[in-house]
Amino acid sequence: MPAQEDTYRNQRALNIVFAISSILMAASIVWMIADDHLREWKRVQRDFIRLDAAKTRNEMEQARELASKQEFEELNKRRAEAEQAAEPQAREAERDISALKGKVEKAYEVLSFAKADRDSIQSFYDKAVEESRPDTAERYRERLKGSGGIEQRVAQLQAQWEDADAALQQAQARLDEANKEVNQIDKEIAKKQKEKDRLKQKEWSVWAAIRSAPILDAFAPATKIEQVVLNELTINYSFKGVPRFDRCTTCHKGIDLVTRDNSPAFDDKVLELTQSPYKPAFRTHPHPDLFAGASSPHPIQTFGCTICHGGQGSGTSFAYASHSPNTLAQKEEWQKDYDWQEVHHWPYPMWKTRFAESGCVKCHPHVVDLEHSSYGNTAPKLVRGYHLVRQYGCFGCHEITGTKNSRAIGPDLRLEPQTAEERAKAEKDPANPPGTMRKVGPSLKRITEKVPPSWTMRWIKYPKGFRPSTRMPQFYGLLNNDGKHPGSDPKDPAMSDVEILAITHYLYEKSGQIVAGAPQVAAGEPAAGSENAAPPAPTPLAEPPLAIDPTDSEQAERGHARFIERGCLACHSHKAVSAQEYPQATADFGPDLSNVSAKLHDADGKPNIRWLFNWLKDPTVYHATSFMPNLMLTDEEAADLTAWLFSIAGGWDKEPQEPKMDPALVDELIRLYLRKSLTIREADEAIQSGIPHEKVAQLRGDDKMLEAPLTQDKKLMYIGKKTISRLGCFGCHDIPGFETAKPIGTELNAWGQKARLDPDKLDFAHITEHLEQELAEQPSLAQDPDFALYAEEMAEHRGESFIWQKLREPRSYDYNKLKAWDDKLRMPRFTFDPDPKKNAQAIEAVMTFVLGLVADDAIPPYYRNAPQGGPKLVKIEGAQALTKFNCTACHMTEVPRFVFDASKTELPDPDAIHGDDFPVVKQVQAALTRPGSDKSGKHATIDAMLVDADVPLEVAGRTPDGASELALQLWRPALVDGKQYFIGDQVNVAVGAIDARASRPAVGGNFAELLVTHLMRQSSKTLRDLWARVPPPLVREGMKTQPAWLHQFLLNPIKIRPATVLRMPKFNLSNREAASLASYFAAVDAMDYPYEYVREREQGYLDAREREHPNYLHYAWTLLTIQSEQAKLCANCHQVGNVVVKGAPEEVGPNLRLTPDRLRPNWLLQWLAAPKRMLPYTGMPQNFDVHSPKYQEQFPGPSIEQVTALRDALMNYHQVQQNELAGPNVAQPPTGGN
Amino acid sequence: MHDLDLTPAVQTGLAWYCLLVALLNIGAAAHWTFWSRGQKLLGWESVLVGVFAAGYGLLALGWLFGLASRPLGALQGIQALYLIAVASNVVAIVLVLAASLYQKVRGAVVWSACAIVFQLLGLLYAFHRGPVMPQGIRDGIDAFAGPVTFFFSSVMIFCAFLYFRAPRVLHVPIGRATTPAGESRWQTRDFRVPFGFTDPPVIWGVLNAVLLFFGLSMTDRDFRLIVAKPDNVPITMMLFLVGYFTWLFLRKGVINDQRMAQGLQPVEATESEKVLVWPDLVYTELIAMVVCTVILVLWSILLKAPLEEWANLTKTPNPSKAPWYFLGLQEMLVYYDPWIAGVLFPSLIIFGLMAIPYIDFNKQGSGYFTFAQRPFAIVVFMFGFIVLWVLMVMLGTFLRGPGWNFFGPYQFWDPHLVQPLNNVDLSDFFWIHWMGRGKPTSWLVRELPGIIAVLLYLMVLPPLLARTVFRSFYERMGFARYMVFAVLVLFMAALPLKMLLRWSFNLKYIIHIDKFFFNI
Repeated sequence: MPAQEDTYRNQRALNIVFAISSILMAASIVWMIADDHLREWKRVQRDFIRLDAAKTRNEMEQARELASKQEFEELNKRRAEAEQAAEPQAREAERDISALKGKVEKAYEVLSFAKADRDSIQSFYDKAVEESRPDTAERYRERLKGSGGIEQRVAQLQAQWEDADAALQQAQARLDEANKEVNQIDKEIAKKQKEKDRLKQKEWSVWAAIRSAPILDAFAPATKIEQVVLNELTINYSFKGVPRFDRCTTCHKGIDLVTRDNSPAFDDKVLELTQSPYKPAFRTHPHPDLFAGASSPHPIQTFGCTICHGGQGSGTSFAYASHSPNTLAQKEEWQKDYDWQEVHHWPYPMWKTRFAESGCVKCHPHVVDLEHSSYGNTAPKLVRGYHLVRQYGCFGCHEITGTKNSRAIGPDLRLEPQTAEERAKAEKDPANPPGTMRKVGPSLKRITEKVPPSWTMRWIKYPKGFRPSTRMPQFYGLLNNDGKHPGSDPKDPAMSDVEILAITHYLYEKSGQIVAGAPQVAAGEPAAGSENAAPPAPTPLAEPPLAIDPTDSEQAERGHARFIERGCLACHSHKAVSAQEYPQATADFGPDLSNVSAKLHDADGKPNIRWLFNWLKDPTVYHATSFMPNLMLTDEEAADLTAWLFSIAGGWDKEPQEPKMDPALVDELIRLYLRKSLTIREADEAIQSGIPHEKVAQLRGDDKMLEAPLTQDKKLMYIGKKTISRLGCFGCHDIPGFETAKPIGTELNAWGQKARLDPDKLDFAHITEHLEQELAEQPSLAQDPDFALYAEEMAEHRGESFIWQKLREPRSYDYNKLKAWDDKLRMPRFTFDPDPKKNAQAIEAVMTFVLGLVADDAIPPYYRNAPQGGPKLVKIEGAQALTKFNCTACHMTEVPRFVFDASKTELPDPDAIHGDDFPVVKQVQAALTRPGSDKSGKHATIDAMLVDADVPLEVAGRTPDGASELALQLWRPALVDGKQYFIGDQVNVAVGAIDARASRPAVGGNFAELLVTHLMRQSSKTLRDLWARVPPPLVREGMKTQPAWLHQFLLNPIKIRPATVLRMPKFNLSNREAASLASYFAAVDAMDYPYEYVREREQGYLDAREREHPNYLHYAWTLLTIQSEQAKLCANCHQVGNVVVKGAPEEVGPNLRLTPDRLRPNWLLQWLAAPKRMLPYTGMPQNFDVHSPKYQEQFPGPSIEQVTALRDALMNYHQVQQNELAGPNVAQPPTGGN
Repeated sequence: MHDLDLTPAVQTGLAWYCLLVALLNIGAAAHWTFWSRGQKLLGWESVLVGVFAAGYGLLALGWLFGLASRPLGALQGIQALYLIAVASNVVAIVLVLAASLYQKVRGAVVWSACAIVFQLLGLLYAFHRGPVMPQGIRDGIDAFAGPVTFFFSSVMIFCAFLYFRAPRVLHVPIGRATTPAGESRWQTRDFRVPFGFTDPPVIWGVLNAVLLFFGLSMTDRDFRLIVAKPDNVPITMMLFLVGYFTWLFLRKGVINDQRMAQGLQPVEATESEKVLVWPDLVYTELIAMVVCTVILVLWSILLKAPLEEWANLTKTPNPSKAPWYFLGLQEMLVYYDPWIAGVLFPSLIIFGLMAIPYIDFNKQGSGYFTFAQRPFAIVVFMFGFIVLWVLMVMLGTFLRGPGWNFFGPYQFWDPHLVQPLNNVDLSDFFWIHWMGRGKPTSWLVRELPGIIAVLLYLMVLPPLLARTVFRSFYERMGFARYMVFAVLVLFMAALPLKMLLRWSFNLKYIIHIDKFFFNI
């Protein structure tokens, strides 16, 4: 076929198509470049650079405005003046210089020529020698060294040049001298100019703009991705821990920038300079002193961002960083402004701001270290959640064992072992020490002695009806068993009644057996542990030895006073102690006692005086692990208290109906349970006539309880036991038969992880429908932003929403479900606060804690603040024990802190008030001064208490209304405005100068305040005197007491000061807890523990003292026991030896016999030298005068020697006393320390 | 709470979708009116075309300067831009409608009307007043949907599409009548179906219906979640492409068949066999290359590469799906064990495709499109490819959800949903139901009925078919070729057969020998 000229397609059409497609391609490539240039992070960075430049410009302008301009002018003026003044001398010197310069240069030139000649001749000489031409060599030598030779000439010329140069230098020096001031000013100007230039450099220059242009930005970009590489803080990618790349700082460029005083560099004010939509990204971290800042404990280079906040660190757009909106409004805003959307496949989205503190737990598993950190309570919401979980006993059902491979990776909230076997087993394994948590509810082992069944069953039915503030949750009458709501059967209330009756029956039956000392294991019932044998009968409740009559108003009145004075209000509240009268009476560690009279009665309604009396005398008789301490009450005190508590009438707020028995439902319930191990026919037979004996042997568990012959009692026992194990009552209460039962709830160790990674494992059931229903019934909920947020997220199956609703309305997940009775959800409803708003806050606090439980063990130990030992752990364990036993209710652990402007305050002159102090005291005070006290005085911080206030309320440092000035007594040495103040110094601060926001009230000691308030009303004593009678603040306790003694004291407190109104009760501490508390105080004050080395008892030490003071201890003892009419020293107030002090209790100090074991020698020395410098309110006087020594006849020497001798005598008290008693002739005391 | 079905963003997206469909219809109308008839534009019409182009130019400029995200007066920027586009479309519609009315082109009037309808719909969506797919229809489709209905309806549509590819006369029986000879015979009446599926107006109408259905379906959140998932976007595009090429082939085949029925040559034979390398080949390729580049660049800008979640040993994704092109295979796994569905069938598919040239004895239909000359080959291939492969991919992609359960297109993929899966083996039927006794313990005896059935299917059926249905094939192919052919066809038929057995009898295995993992 011949070649064709015709083309197959129309060329014109092809050309058009080609043109269009080419244009499209060009456009698409332009689009591609634009798309890259407009990438979000580039835009953000450009905006930030602009903001930074604006900030710099602003600073520059400010600098210029404030100083620079004038300063430059001023400097130039000064320069001109100086120049003028220097002119005559300068001109002359300059003239000289120009003349001399020519001379010097000329001389130097001639010299150089001569030197060159010399070098040349030298080389000719050397050559001649080498060539063995002695004549020639000699000739050259002559020219070189001979007189008038070249070397001589060089020397001459050198001298000439040096002289000329010296003259020049002199002239120069004269000029410099003349111009000295001018040069100085020039230097200053240069320095200022440099600073100005530096600021200018930061400006967004044209060059930077060019570099950032599209395409060009590929070469030397002004914008670039910044990242922190964290090789150790890996991300768990299921198979492998992969290093973390946090690119957050690409946009959050200002996050760690601080000003010189460590405050945020980009604060709200700076952000006003930009209109960028990404403004919030430029803010500096709000706490740069604690996070992100280079000098903070969490610098960004070491920690990055996502380890705490979550989020996708490698993401470089707003959406891919996996930001989580905190509210729906924010979500909408983000969607609009930043194209925000959920990143579905990133399992660690950023924590919502409201849960930001959840991220702390993985590295701070003990939580309490966050509460008691040197920065204060750094995670209040999380800490609150932790305490709520502790107080409400969530761990009773939900195990929280935060250990993995014997490392703490989360809070350890395990129950303590319930049986001796378990304890022995746990203690054998040092890697997994036994749990320490006690069940939060009272023991029910002897309930029959306490309350009647009629009360108990109504209480189970509706606890809040009796005591609105109770922590006991509600199990019945809830959404899935009230018979009304979808998902609940109409006969559910009757079922509930049967169960309540059965539980009560079981409890009283078992408790009756225990009280009677009968074997506790019913026929056929499986034995728990070693309880086959009948245990010894428990200690019976004693008959009160005194008459107790609630109607006796006198006795009741006495009881009322004792109720306040004996410390009941430290843990309990009571309606008869009004909040107006005692604003501090808000304790909720123990139950509200207002209603006890309605509860503690026998079946006939007569008050159960016997139980209450015994309980008050010694709570451990009834409940071995009760938190209620033994208050060491006398019979009379206990009787009065009992009478008063019964004299206040109480009753139900909202009394539920008495449960009704329905035998048909009993059978139905039994059938439900039996069907799991028996056939239908067998179960029906068993209900009729019991399980035949031969069959029982094949059965396991509780079913054996139904062995024939069957009685109604057996049936109830069976259902009771089944119900208790189903509802997990034993998680909070000691219940016989459940000693080895395991918690019934989901483990929470890593629940936070599960909720994020695997929300599909949570059963959301018909919750969305329920919430819609709720909204329809209660339209006002739509106004609640939290409800809207969680409800929306619930539809997306988010773990956070799941737990929110679980805490809000646990049974709502059964909405419209068709479930058998025993399959229904069991979690009861907790009410943390009657006020719905506060309850919602509490729920979020609990959520914050639980979501933080991620059990992430990939974090290297040094990031993790989870010490395995050492002072850090001691502090943590001690803080846990302090909270556990509510020590801080009575004892202040930190006195109030006042932050004030010292420049507005007239401060006393330290020299004037420290004149009487011994040098050794001054040294210690200076050493105790808190580092970092503000030197400028603008923000002076002192730890102090109000002294001698008229109004009792003001003790804790609360600012009284109307006062213009506060008299504050320091409890910690402080450096204020460059002046050193000691403990006990008084500073009067104008109220206006105090920064109320930065100041904070005391930590702990609420009850001490209450008691002081109370005592002030009773007597005319001053505040200072009364403080000595109430529980003391535990400040510097570690410096004061020896840990070994404190340990002993905590386990078995003795009475130390006779004056105290309330003596330390005996707490139900374990040995370990007492030890950790004793060590805690030492660790807090950085002292030695667990033992103190007492050098003063060493023979070597005493021998050295003896050499200086012959018969040292004898004379020291004499000093101690001065008892003459003219001078009385220690013995005036303290019991020394057998001499009992007579006087009012408040005038009597502790027996000195206690001293050698109790006090630390260094502290004792300070104390003797200046008591008020250790304890401001003490009544002990300073007995020794630093200037004029007294008591020279008893112990000659300077005062400080006397104090030391006294201290040494006290530290060797027993030996010395023995020696003294043995006879005055024995000069040398027997050796100590062997 | 928010309306999850019809968010403002969805409405805006649908507005532009409707605009594009309207534009498509305007184009179709213009094609019918002007180009297919060789009509040239007159002067005044060019002005309107200019106005139309200017409108879109304005739109592009507005977009470039970011007007889309800024409020303009009472309107949102994007709505204002939309109005500009609508105005341009109105100009075009007026032009086309006027021209088609003037020239009395009926088709073009219809497509203009379609354009108007879509444009109105688009306006509603642009101002966030658009309709949603009626719940009744959604519920109806969900209720109707299921693997069985899906399979049968797709087979029926497939058959109908082939059968009604061109206008044809139907002989519809209307009753029995006795012939004069006394025989009772079906009496038929002839109905003429005036349209065939390959007629452009018909298929264009179908396309419009599909686009309307698709657009309205996007108002359903669950439908949108699945279809608009970045992974699934290419599959949606593929469906349209497969549809288009199937239609194109059939259309050309039908034209050729009609020509050949009239004794003419096929179209391809009238065309020159040789073309110039330049410009006909290279230039076209260059253009194709440029266009592909543009598509790839735009695709990469607009649609980010989708990532799945992390691999996790302890957590299997649910549903865990194969790559989309293997979803047909995965669907087979529902009915057969892996060794068959994953090894045997794929190998047979490959070998079968390779064997086609050797099996094929039909010399006709080479070098031109035709249907009538090779109906069997085409039907078998298209059944295998479209029904058993492409549609299974579609089923696997869009309708198989968590737990490999079947979900209607508007149903939420609930991972907690439990569907009853009670299947029984053939041995259960035989021994328990028919014989009324327990199953024998010996596996050989127990599975004997199944083994016999399989042997019957593979050994006895081919000769039987050779005598009956495939008699002419057998005669023309000879024994060896026939046997290869028959076995391949039987294996292909094994899949739909097993499906039928599963659906109608809950039959799990014909042969079930756990001992050797030998299950069929």
